[in-house]
Amino acid sequence: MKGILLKELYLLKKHCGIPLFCLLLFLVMAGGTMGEQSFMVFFPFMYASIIPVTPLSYDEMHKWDEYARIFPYTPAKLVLSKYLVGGVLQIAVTLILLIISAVKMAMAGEVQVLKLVAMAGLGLLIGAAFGGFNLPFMFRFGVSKGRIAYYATLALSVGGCLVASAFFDVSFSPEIVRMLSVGMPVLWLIPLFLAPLLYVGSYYLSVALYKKRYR
Amino acid sequence: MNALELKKVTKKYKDFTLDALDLTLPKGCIMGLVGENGAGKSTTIKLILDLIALDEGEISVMGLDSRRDSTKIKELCGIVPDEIGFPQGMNALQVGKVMKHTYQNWDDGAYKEYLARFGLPEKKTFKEYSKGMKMKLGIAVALSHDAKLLILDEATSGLDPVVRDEVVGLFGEFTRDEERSVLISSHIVSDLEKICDYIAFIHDGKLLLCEEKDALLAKYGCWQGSRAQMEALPERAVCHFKETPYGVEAILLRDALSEDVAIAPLNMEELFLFKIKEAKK
Repeated sequence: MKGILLKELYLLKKHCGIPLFCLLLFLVMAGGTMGEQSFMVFFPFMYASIIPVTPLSYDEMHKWDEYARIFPYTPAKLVLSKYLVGGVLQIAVTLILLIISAVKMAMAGEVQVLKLVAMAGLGLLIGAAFGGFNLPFMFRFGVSKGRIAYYATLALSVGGCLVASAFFDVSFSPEIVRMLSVGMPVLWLIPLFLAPLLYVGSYYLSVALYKKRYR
Repeated sequence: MNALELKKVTKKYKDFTLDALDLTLPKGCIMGLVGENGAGKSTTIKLILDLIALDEGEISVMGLDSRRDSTKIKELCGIVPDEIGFPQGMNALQVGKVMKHTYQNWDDGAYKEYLARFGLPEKKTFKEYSKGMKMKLGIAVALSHDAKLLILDEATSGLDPVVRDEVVGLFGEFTRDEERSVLISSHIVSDLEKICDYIAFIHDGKLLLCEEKDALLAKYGCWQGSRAQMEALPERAVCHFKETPYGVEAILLRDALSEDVAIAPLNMEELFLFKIKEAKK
């Protein structure tokens, strides 16, 4: 496993400078607009979850995807390396946004822990859903065909968010926060548990599809 | 224990079937798998490595089952396919670091020696390597983790004759240790003729022949003469012949000839062509 991860790091360093810079840009935008527009807060999670597609496309372009199969890597490990890249990036995004949010809240005079937990949970859930939906397509059909699913989910989720924010108040208003924290505080924790479950489920699906692709 | 055993190995595609292939490669030997393009050589190698699903039959590599123990088998094998696919931005040193964490028995010293021996620059990226250099890097990796079985699929085809000769010699060196074996597929019969102990001919998914090279050399011989001279030979001695502007070239069965007939050592390529023509009849 260490060997594949090292190869992923070399690939990220060599070819993923622009995607990682874009992620940083989205993080800055999310940090700046936090509390004003919910969609921008969650976009870095979505973006981080599909960054593994870039090394995957280079693997296919360089024919590493075929060549790697002669080495003692199991299909599960080959798939896991990409999920780990996505997972680590999503956790990094969560931590950075939590720190920015906490600092902003502290400067405003009150750190709302529940709101921070909700943001982290929902962000991770959106990222896990977005990456978790797209990656199995990429592993089954390859990146060029798999991109169709990616653009479809991107259009649906961005469009959905824009439509939702036009008609509903999707920000965490103090009333909603108070209502949920008094009535059902456990609800805030659900996305935090759901996100890893979804991501792990997607991983197993990708392994099964990856095995099918080459047999 | 044999290095490799294939029993009734079958793989069916819509337009091609690898048909009940039986092969045995004893330890310490080199087997050449010869066949035209599309004959089934790569399919056979992919089945051995469990890269494609086996329809029928059994394959064991160093006593391990190809399907159940495929990861262990890949640890024991040095594999060189016809195309080497390391990420283009990586250099030979980075490849070595990745492989160090890939193979349990990785030998960094041996790898660096092969890089020097093949004249491969350590810091040039894979993208900057020529086709021959890429192949040599693949061979260096395959030879640097104490593999017991080397499997080469058309690995020498893209190399120039000088490098090919050097690489082919290396495979001979590799089997000085009697625990080590080589399976090499190629359509360049002359390469295989130099180093192989066993020769297997595949045509259209079927095994035409699998014998010790020395037995083949003892059984057949090459002959040149006129048409009239050939017709004077016992009919059953002539396996195959072709007419050229200079006369007739034939493959003869040594057993069917009297001792006074001058016969040259067998040309494996001619035998291969003869077997294919025979199969097509």
